[in-house]
Amino acid sequence: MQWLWMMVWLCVHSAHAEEMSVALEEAPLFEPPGAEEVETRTYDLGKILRCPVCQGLSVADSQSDAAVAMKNRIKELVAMGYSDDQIIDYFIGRYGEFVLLQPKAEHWFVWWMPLIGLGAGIGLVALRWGSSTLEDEVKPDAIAESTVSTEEQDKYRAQLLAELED
Amino acid sequence: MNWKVMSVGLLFCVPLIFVLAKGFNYDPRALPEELTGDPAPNFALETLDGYPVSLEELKGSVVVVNFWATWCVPCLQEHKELISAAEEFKPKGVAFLGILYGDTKAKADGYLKKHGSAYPTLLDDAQRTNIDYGVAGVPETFVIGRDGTIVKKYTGPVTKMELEVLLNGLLAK
Repeated sequence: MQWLWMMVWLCVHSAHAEEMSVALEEAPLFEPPGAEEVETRTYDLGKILRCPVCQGLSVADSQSDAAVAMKNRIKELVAMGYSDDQIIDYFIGRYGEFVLLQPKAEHWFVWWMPLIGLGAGIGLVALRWGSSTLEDEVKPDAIAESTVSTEEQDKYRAQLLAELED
Repeated sequence: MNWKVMSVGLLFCVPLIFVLAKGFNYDPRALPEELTGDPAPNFALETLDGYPVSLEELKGSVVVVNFWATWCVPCLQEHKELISAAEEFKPKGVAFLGILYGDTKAKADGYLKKHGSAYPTLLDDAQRTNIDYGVAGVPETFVIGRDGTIVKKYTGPVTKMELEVLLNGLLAK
């Protein structure tokens, strides 16, 4: 199923590709934060961003050269006073939305599609269930209607007995 | 014909076919070219010999920037192609620069001695330029136009023929 979501994501992504811009042309939004905040925010941002040379690992979780370089860059930008959004936009501007481990909230289709699919599935099951219970209720009558007449049954019994006697 | 089954089937199949038709048009190995058309991020680095080079100084010229490493096999594959392209286009005013990716000066010196060199390679110990250019792996080659914007990004080994077509077009402008 993963490939399907990947394709959905790519379709949605292509529609938004033109909206992306290179960030950091603007000044930092905040004053340079304290050392502790720099560490915390660097780690949190590293968890959101994908290591470009790894298989599904975040920047925070990878020790590859590329991830370490990205961590250093995040730390540098946080220390300069750039906001989380500015830093995320900076990376998106370079690596595309591929760099995000989770699609953006504006891609509502990707987020809601599983729920829509689940709803449709439950609806389908309920529909089938309803129709099968209806069939069960109908069955006795249907059997009664289709049952062969007693006259035919007697004829069949007689034939059967005759054959057994032989 | 059972129209109920048919309509439910269509409800699922039509979006699926649409998604597949769209999705199969993508190259799954293609990396995004986010910076194409944007101003090339500036860098001020030193060559392996210690000479300072900044992209800003080269504004007005067409610049080819190649990110490479000695441990990268496809980089060796394109090395001769890049040297050949540099020998042809440097006299026409095109600047060629290499930027070392995740490697050491000593290894790069040895590599270039062995395989030849036609343009300077820059050291970026902080790996900042790689990130500024969104380099996800090596080799990646960027062609920067006279106005300082990125015209094209090549992911993977580039050939002389590819560069020839693009550079001739840019120089004719």
